[in-house]
Amino acid sequence: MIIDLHVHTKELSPDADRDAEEAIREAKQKGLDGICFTDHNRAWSVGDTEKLSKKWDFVVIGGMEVDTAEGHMLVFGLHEDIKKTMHVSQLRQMVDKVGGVIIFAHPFKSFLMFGMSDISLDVEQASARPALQVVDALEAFSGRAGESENRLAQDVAKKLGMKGTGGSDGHRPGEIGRCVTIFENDIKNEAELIAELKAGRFRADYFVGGRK
Amino acid sequence: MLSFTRTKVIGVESPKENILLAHGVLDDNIYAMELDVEVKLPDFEITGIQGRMKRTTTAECWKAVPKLGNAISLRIGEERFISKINRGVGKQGCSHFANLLLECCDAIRQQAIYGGWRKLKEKDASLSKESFLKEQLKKIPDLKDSCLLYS
Amino acid sequence: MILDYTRCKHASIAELEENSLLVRVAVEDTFYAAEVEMVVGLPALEVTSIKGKVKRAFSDKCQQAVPLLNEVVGMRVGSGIIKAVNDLVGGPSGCPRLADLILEGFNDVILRYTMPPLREIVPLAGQAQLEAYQVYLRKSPRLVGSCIAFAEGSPYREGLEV
Repeated sequence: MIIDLHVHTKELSPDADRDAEEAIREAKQKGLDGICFTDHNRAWSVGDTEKLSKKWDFVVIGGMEVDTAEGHMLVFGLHEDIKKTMHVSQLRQMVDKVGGVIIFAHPFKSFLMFGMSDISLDVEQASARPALQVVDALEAFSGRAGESENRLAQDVAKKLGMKGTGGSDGHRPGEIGRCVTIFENDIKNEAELIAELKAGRFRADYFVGGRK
Repeated sequence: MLSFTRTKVIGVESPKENILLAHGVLDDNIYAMELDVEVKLPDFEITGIQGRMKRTTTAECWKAVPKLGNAISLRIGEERFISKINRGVGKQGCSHFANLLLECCDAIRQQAIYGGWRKLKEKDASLSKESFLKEQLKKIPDLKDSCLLYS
Repeated sequence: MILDYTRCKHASIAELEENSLLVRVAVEDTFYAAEVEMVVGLPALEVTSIKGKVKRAFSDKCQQAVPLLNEVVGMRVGSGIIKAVNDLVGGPSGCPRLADLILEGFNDVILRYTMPPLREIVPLAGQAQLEAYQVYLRKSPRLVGSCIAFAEGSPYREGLEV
């Protein structure tokens, strides 16, 4: 089952240019089996995603991309808006209370202007980031990270024995499905998604329009 | 050894009542540029802007100068002001112009908030800083919750 | 015309021997003076230490924000940092001016790393420079569309797949 775990919508992300229904239409067209809306610090209600799921006969699950001091974290299971940036350790406590999961989004994505000319992080150094000890998985295939940044994330996941997910981080039309997570089992709802993520029964890859 | 430095210098004058004019200069190892920004009070509307690029990295950079016009009629402190500048002047033009423009706008705002203190204090020696700040908050409502002084 | 208000903000990046950068930012204006000094570890680009001072402010209350500087220790100069610094050091219970000094320093760290490739490209002329920029854009695709020089229709983007 192929799911884009990281998609933004105009409804809840001010920097997105495409609404939820357009995203679903695009995901279906591209041959995905499901989509997760992970807007910035804003949570979709289960009722709203269920309605969309029914209307489009498609798996639609709500998550969130939460800003933390250590970077962006994809969260599933938490259904409250986050008002202020926190540390990932604080987020961990909140997510544990609801039995959810945390995925470190694009962990090595750099800043816009970087020439990155003479700076390179090796796997050893990258793996030492303390925030990696606190999350359940990391996004090893991100549609918005560079190829070398994704490769580093994949190598770090391997070194730490962590699972890597994939998601487009799509904000605009045409971006859905560039990276995806491929689950071994069928998933119909949030609870099943969390269970499969926790069990590690998935792999990730580039997909439509990706760099593969 | 130093590998990079950036200096920004801003001066603000008041050529006539309710008008503040900022002149800003940015100089670093890579870029050098200048701006003149005119703002009308009390609504902090940007009414004029001129810029010059003195040192840049590409032959295309000068095309960012006319994009400064995208800031005209925006009001400092309005909703999403910073992202409007970053998009309209920065992304569509030059991010370093946007950076200097935001520095100029912040300087104008600081002058508008605190610039009246000395005269008022001279007129009324019993005026406390607390009551002055309260008064400023009434005049510039978007100061509310902007920092620990106004929360 | 006599100026009513002046501001001077200066940032510097120094290379330390122990694989780190010393980032200093100071501002002095008519109503406020403050400085921040951070050590940024390489190659992780993580803030390993920070200290700062509010040397002069309109209100003594501004000093209360100084301990918030510690919130940035462990942060990495990378995606999401602007909101994190503004939320944790600026905001209603903090000081946006101290947050601004930190962000100025981070911006200058980024520019410091942008400089070496530019040193190679900028002195080139004509077609050689154009081609060098095209190679640079291929290596740093996030620069595409980030400013007018790399916008659609720019000669630097010719032949570049976006």
